[in-house]
Amino acid sequence: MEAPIRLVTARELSYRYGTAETGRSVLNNIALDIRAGEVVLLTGPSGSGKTTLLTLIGSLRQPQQGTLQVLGVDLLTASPAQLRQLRQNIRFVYQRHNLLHSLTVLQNVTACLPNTPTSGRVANRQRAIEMLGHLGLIAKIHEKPERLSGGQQQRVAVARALVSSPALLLADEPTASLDSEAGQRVARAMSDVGRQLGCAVLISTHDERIFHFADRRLHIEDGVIAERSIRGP
Amino acid sequence: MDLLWRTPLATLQLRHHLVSTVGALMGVSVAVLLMFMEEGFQKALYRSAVRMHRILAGDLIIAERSFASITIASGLPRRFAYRAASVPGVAAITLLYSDTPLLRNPQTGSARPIMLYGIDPLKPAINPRGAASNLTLLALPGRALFDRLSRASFGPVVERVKSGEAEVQLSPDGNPDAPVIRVIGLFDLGPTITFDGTVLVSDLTFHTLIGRPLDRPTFGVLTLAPGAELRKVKTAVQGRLGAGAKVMTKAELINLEIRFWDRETPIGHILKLGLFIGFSVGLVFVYQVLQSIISNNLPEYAVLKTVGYPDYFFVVVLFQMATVIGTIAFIPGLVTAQLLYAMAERTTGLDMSLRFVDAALIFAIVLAMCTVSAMLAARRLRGADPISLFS
Repeated sequence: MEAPIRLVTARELSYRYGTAETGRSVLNNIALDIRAGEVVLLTGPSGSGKTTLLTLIGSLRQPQQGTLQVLGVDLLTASPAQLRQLRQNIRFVYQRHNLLHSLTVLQNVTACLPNTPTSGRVANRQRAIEMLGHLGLIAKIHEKPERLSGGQQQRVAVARALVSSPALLLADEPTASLDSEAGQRVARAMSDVGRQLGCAVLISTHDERIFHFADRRLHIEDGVIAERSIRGP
Repeated sequence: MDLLWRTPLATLQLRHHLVSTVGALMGVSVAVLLMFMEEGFQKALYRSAVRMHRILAGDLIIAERSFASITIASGLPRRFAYRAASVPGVAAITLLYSDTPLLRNPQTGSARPIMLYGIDPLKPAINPRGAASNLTLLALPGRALFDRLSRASFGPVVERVKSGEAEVQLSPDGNPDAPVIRVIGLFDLGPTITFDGTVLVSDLTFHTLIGRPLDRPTFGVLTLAPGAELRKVKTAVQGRLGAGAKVMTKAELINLEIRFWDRETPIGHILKLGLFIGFSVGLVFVYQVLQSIISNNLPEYAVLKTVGYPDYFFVVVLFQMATVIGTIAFIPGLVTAQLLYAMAERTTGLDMSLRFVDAALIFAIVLAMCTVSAMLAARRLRGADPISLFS
């Protein structure tokens, strides 16, 4: 059987904030691989560099040292056009849902789908409805986000992220502000739908209750990354 | 981009922030009304200032070389007018005298300034509506025609003319012993911002009332011979008179008078300032609501940026929101202005009619106001940084 494609590859990746003299190094010679269909957790104490790594992989920051390849694009040398193209295949879920309150649930999700000749408006709408159905929100599609619970809002955010079938889903503390049950449903949604779509999911989290949804866990501390068990801290 | 047209984010966001939107609509409506009123008074000022100019019975006008406005005209040496008469292409010439004496209210005795024109009754330099049948009677000494549209401050002159027994006193200083003149008829002209009415007399009666010699008329009014070319004759007359007099077409005279009121008088500046204040008030209201919506949605805009919405999308949404506010607020502003124009017209006698071009101008200013607001508010979009979404 063929090995899943490596979607993210980092080698000797380092990053520091500020100048060489007065700045602070947050990532030191990081090496990691993430493959298609994998659900990977990124854990570590606050300030350990989880978010920095997430934003580097998401091409929201420019790498400073080492190599970082995401979906085959070398982020150290990529042109703005290559980055724009790359970002079309990466989606994010944040700690807050960040849904537009003036739009319905369905409109929030379809807003993140491009209208192209091959994916028209009607097709997009159908796709968004299916995705919301997968996430147990079919009865809520015409509601405004403010009428939904926190967990439901976060699942809409997951639907919004996954509806375009991205190759890579990056989530930053997606369950931090949810109760246990809602957090579990959100994590299950990301892992199940992510696997179905063959999408690599990287979740930065402190939430041990969702560890079991992952295939692997990477722990980052003092700028150094190491593989850890998904069963314990 | 469905969020621009099919599911218009702009109107949906305005509806979602209904309280702020209604506040902005009310504020912008008031600003629109303010602009309409300033525009209305400005146009009324200009129209009233050139009412007489429009009915000058000639093609070219000669005035003193420094002429700027009829209200401050000091008079043209009469020899210039006669010299102009000999220029080829000029068929006839007549003279117009003007002054601003005081007319005593026949009922109360109080005196108020009025515009007085003196004409040759046989070759009238102006021919206001309704005056034609009485013009020749002005040749009799001490006879006058009174503007039916004058304000009520002169007392029941119009009513007395209708009953055939109107006599008024006109003098440079409101002297109660000034000679009495008989008003033998009415005409329609209308008051100006500065003068409540107009009286028309013969040049000789003008001389009797004002005591000014007739060798310095305000205007020489030239009528061209059939087929003569206006521009050519104007150049020839100006060449004959030299720098001692100013030769103008009627349109140039009207423009000069408007320019005087617009640029040389405090009221012109005040009205322009009012327009600017209306613009500024509207701008602040639109900016406030845009700014509030952006502040409340910065993270959501940042999310849209991460999924590929370009920066210009958000600027277009802002322009749409500003334009929706401006367009909706324009309607109550326009309707209220129409009502206030009608009231002001009844009270002041000024022509406050709203013309399509004036309404279109205000709408264009409102759109400009919305554009500036959106441009100012767009600077806040820089805060929609995807990195700020991370914990």
